[in-house]
Amino acid sequence: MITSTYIEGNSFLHKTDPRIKIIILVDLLVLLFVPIAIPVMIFIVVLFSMITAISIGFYRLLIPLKMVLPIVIFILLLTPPFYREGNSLFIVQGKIILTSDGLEQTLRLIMRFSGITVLFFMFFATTTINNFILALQWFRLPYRTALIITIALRYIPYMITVYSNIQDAHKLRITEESGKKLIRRFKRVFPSLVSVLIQSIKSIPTLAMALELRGIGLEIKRTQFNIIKFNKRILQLSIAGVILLMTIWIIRFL
Amino acid sequence: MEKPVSVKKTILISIFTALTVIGGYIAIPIGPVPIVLSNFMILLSAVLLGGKMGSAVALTYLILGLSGLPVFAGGTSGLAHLTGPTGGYLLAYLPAAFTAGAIANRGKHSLFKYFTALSAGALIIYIAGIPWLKFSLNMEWRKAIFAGMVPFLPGDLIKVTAGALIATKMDGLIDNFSLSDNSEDQ
Repeated sequence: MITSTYIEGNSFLHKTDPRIKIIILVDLLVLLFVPIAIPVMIFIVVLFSMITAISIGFYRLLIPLKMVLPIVIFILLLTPPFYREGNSLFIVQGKIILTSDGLEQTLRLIMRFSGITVLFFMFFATTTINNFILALQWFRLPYRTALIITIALRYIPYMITVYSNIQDAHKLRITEESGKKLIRRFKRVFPSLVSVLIQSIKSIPTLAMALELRGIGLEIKRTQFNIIKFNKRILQLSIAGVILLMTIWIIRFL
Repeated sequence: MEKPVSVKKTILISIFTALTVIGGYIAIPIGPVPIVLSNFMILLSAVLLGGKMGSAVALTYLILGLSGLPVFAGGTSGLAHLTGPTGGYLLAYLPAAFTAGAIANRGKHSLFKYFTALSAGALIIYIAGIPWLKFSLNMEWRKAIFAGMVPFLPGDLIKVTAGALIATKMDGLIDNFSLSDNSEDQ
């Protein structure tokens, strides 16, 4: 079970302030969603893929691209038949398979999804979850939300261990599985799931005590040891990002 | 003054979010489309914890997925999935959880009520998911329904039935556990 996508490294992306990375990420995401020219989209995707490959390695970049591959195939097969306008580019036995409009839409969607995937991967492969949550808190994410995310992340590996232990215990108790194939499959999953649910609920008082001992739930504010200070570069980058977006948007109409 | 954090709510939302993530990894192979239990866990958390907390579980789950953690079905993640052809199903978790929780927690609890609540939740996921699929791929309605609903119906029926049975068995288990939480009623 993966609970963090962070990849250890010493690249300039690893060293960049997470708040700056969030601003750049948001700016680029907006850029991928506004109707800009296809070559610009390809340029953005290729450029950031190269930056990611240099920072964390080419083979690691293939992991998120493999994840998005089914969606890309889905788009590649289903988009062209529904866009019939423009010049016919590919005709088989008198039937139009691909038009210029269909090709443009397909490329736009593929670039958009690949671009989003690469950008998110670039961000989370070079930013620890702790720094990410601290940066979000700096952007005024409520403390409670940050706490919920942290506890959930902490509990995922624990619960997966509990689930596999319970499943092993159930397997030991059931010597010979009877009934139809379908029922057998459910027998394997649901009793274990109920046990995990009960086990999780039983762990609540201990977790509550741990949180209360750390002062969570009190009316006074907690001491924060790990903070990120205000940085002028963040403000400058935010303004530069907005100007860049507006420029690209305006150039489109010239 | 800033409101204090409710320990009970925080823990319940966190634990059910973790359970939802695990649900995404448990796949029961049935027919062409395997059953994945993430939507089952979200709807179950909604009927057990209530509409608001169920929606909070769904929201935290979506935030985790959006953050790049591979928590969506099949170990996928990212904004690409939320804005992609199947994004409607994921975003529908929020209203589905709220509705299922609201139905389940109105009046006396019963197996039938849980079944209705879970069915309503599952239906909302389709109501949002199919049009999203249709418009994002420019498909015809008939094709969108056949691709995005029909193969999943048997699995959902099983999930709703199992969910109603589990919720009936676990009814009161969460209400019974008490904490010395002075901010519980926020």
